[in-house]
Amino acid sequence: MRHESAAADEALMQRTAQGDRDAFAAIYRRHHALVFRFARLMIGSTEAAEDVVQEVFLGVMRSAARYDPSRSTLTTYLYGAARHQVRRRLLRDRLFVSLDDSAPDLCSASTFAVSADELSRQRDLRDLRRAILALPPRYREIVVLCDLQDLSYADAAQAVGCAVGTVRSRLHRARQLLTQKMQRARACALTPARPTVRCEV
Amino acid sequence: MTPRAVDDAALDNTGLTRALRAVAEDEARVETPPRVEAALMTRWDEYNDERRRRKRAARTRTLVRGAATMAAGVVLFGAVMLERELTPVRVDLPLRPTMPSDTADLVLPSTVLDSAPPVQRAIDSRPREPRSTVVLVGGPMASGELVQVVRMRVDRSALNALGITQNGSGETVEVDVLVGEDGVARGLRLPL
Repeated sequence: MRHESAAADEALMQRTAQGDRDAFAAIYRRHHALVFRFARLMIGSTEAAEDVVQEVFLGVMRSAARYDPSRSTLTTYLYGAARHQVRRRLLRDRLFVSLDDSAPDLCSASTFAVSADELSRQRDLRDLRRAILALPPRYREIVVLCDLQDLSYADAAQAVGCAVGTVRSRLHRARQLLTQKMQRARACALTPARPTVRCEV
Repeated sequence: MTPRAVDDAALDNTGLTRALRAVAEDEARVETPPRVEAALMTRWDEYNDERRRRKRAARTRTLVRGAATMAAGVVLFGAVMLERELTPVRVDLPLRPTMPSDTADLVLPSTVLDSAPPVQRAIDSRPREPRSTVVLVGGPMASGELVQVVRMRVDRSALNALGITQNGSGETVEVDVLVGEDGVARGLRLPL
């Protein structure tokens, strides 16, 4: 199944290199979601993720002729390109400070909270997303690829460009960090807010 | 599988895995906005139009270059062939005033084409066994002047009108005209 998919991707890339518009559209429809979700989880912004998707597929459009299927599958290639764009974006955004103090664009897919359990679940998911975004990028990308995008360690290693053992160790460390952050967030939530006291002299 | 929240209890590894799965399932419902695809396809059209235009221009340039090279080759070949036909020869004559009616017996090199490259050769004007007669006409021929030999077929009556008599029976006579650098005829070579 996977080989068939890779062969189909290869054929589509060849047609794209020859200027076939439909082939390019087919590649986009097959793979846009994984690039978009990866970028969204890495950056935490839907708009930025859209930009990353555009940049990644523009790269495919320009360099389809140079794609070598013997080196990696198209999925891994796209993850690698998306990772590169995300890193550029994060590096650029580090130079700016947002004036908006609200939480980043962590919008959940469903915004209709119907019960207390659902509210609690959404709060937990929001906290976890924040914790993921607070991870250093090298840990964050491994969590996103392996835990959230269900990539195998080997594929993740190829996308990130490191050894499988490195992926394992980074994932282990990332989970530790996430656990700590979640515990801290939970502790903060349980602590009652201190009342503001006006001091009169 | 319905998404499950993180347990309020200790957040162990299993709990974290469950929470991550919940985030993944939540995220799986998010779709790329259709405007991204529309924008991409617009860029595709622009990019490929530009690429096609560039390819066409490159092909035209190649064609023009090929045609220009071919034309240059033809011109060069023609020039070489013409150069072979019109080989300039140097005539060394004694320094003395010449008159239009003077005649001299010269042995000139043949103007027949051969495979050897054109060479400027001096004409040996020493009298040998005469094969033709040169009638000097027009202006005086300077010593060392470059002349060109042009073979022409002239009516015998025209030669007679010029006062040149030539033995023979045909109506026309093949003569070699010696043309100077200024384009003026210097002499006529007539077969004996």
